[in-house]
Amino acid sequence: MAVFGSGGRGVMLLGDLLIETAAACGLYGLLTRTYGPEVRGGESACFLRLGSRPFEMMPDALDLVVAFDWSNGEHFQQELQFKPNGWLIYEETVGDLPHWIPPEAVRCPVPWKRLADEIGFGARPNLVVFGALCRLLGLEDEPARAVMTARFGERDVELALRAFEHGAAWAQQAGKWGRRLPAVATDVRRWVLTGNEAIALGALQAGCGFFSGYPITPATDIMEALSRHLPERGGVLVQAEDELAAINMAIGASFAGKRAMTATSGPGFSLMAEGLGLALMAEVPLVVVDVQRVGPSTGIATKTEQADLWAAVASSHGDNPRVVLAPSSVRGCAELTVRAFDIAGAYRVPVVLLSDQFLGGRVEILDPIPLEGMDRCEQTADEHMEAGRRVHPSDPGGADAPTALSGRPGGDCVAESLEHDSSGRPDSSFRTHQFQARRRREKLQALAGEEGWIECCGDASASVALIAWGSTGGVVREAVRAAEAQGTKVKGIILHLLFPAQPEQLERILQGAEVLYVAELSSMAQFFYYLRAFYRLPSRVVSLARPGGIPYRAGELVEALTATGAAIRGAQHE
Amino acid sequence: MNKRIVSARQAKDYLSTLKPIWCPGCGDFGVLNALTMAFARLALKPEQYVIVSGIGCSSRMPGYLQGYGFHGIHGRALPVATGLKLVRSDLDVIVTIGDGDAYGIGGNHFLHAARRNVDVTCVVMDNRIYAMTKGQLSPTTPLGDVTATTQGGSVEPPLRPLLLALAAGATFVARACSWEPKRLATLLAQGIRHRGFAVIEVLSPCVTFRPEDRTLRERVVWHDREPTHDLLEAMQAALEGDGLTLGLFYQVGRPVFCGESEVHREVPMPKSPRRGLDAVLAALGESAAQD
Repeated sequence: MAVFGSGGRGVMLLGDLLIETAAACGLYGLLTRTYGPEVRGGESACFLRLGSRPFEMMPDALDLVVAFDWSNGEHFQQELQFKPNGWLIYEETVGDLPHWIPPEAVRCPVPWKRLADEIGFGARPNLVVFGALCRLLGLEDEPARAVMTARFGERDVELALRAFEHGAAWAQQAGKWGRRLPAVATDVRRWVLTGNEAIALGALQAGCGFFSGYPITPATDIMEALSRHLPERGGVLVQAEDELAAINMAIGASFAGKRAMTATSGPGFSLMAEGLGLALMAEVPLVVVDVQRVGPSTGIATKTEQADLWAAVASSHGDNPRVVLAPSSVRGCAELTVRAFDIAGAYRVPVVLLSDQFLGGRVEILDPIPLEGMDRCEQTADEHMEAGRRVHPSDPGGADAPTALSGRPGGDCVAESLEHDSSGRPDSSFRTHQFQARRRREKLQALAGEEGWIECCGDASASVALIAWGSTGGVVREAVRAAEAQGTKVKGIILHLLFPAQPEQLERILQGAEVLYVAELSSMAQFFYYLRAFYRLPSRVVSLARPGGIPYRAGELVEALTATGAAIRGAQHE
Repeated sequence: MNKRIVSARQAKDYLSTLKPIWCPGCGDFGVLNALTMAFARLALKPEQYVIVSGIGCSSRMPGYLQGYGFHGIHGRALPVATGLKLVRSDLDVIVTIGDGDAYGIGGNHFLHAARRNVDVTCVVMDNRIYAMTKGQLSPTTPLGDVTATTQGGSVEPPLRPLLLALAAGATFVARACSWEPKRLATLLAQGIRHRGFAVIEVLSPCVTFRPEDRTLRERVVWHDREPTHDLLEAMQAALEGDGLTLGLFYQVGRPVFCGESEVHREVPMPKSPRRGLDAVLAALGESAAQD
């Protein structure tokens, strides 16, 4: 379903209440929010999918559309595809329906404004609507009340409950309502999390002891979540003066022995490129999160894209082998954040965690994630520092060299941004640079050799393969299932370790595939060319690349896998 | 008693085995010596301090001193030092940078480190020129001076670093010179002992690209008054003598920066509404408690 209206109407609150109530009723669900850059008064919409299995994307068409007003509806026109017999519920006094509402949509005008006025809630009918929708969807009252109490507090909940009950009573009496969702009996208290919250959770679980960041949409809520929870766990958080400071503060804290992280989006990541090079050269462990948004420049700060891939793999200057991880689900956001800290510490490298607005901003109902690694707050300093100057192991794969300041007597360690010899002293000789540049590259070989980073779904023997990364990976999982239901066998592949590349592993997985479709939200087909650069691919590789703004729908990918669709879309890059 | 004297660290014991790359006669030698004297005077152990620097001649300092150091990138020494100090408040963090680091590329960080009152000692070796890159304009180059990049004479008025430090909120503000290392050492020791952001601007002439700055020796005057708590008075004093007055102008006590941490919270944490991440963490906490 979709709910939309002008900003400030309480659309987002309604979405939150619905998904929290659905979770309490034992349903799975996914909530995405779309809004303009305005804080208030712009367009806003939320999309909600509820059911008896987890979801990773919105359906191709909607069962239900709820409209508070039409003032900004045209902004979402492309996203508002009705199912045949889909319902349109709207405020009855708002006048003529816009031309783009399909004629077959079942129209349900509702007197929300009047209902809200009756209880003195005129300006914001959203809680009345909440009551009515709960009745319509078959969401139980008790969980809904608990959700509202948690949201508004004991003191303020009375008024909210009155609005809720007024709406519910109206729906009850209106009669024709009633589309019960199949609840799933469960004793498990499911989690309701955004991707950004999951990253914060992963950081806390991994023992992050320091976070510095600069506010930027759509990454800010990682810092907001940590501002709430990091200090109470003994950590330190700083809102830096800019992203240059943010990454360097994190580097300083990491050198001093804490697990350190920063988070940003594209424009901030560009500023951090400089510090990334420092962390690489000085071999300081660090986790840098980039929640991608539409670029370049300020672009569309509130919408998703996957076009920071090249920047993540190659930004900064010189040869700079770093690690790039890419979660493809909310669960993955938490799990890969924990992995990112472990890898950063073990290999003494900065790890870039590439998320995006679609992952970071969406709310998922998910089963609890088993996360290990609580209370690992003190990182590598004492493990890795020995008395005396630091010495890099001559074994290039070794990851146990002292790296950090321990404050131990006799220690004499200078982190160095200049090329330096094994003892950490500046050295501009050809020989040293040869050795060190190779060592920095080769130390990641052990990671590149690891299994399990490439996820497969669908039919392993299919001759058609579909590959993606990041949030598009979730769409691939759904598309493969949808294609199967239509009788088309597809091998779905999702990469989670983007650098170092794993050409051998992918080649093995691609065996038997005659054509490889590459899905990504990047106009320049960054993933397609990345694959061509680092991997051995089948002779026929077709790019489905398109710019971001709206994530793929499964139907869009399934259609593209048919010959005609591919011919049209793949023309640009093949 | 004798034994104690024998085991006491002398200034020279703080030098590393690396030989400085500075030009003979560089002011930075004086600053290096003064730092070792200050350390000896404070009887610091090398593991008790960290030297953090940026890029430039002055920023070579960490390599020439015993103990822990961080030779970072141009302009970013203060953020690195901030992160470091926040998680290791037990260590003395000394930032050794140049005028480019402090007032040019890193100017924004200088402002905010002062505003926050980060508890580090910021030693700015001001040679009024970009020396490592061979003689380009610096934010403190005097108006009209010819440099490699202002061959018709600079058209930019120089910055007044101490006014900047005072206005931004530094709590210890001094100016010294490299050719009087003993007096510099006294100020450095005071700065290291000061709790809060201590700025010590050191006139440290570049003999290669600004040989004319040797004459600064004849123009400086020591300001021997007690440091004031009064901002305007301090600004006035820092401006005296064409900005070449030396001494400690200003020292006040103000809470030092701890970041968002348990050290001091202005507002108690609001009660958890038990939604989203709060609910998850509460559930994890409960299950951990059961284990």
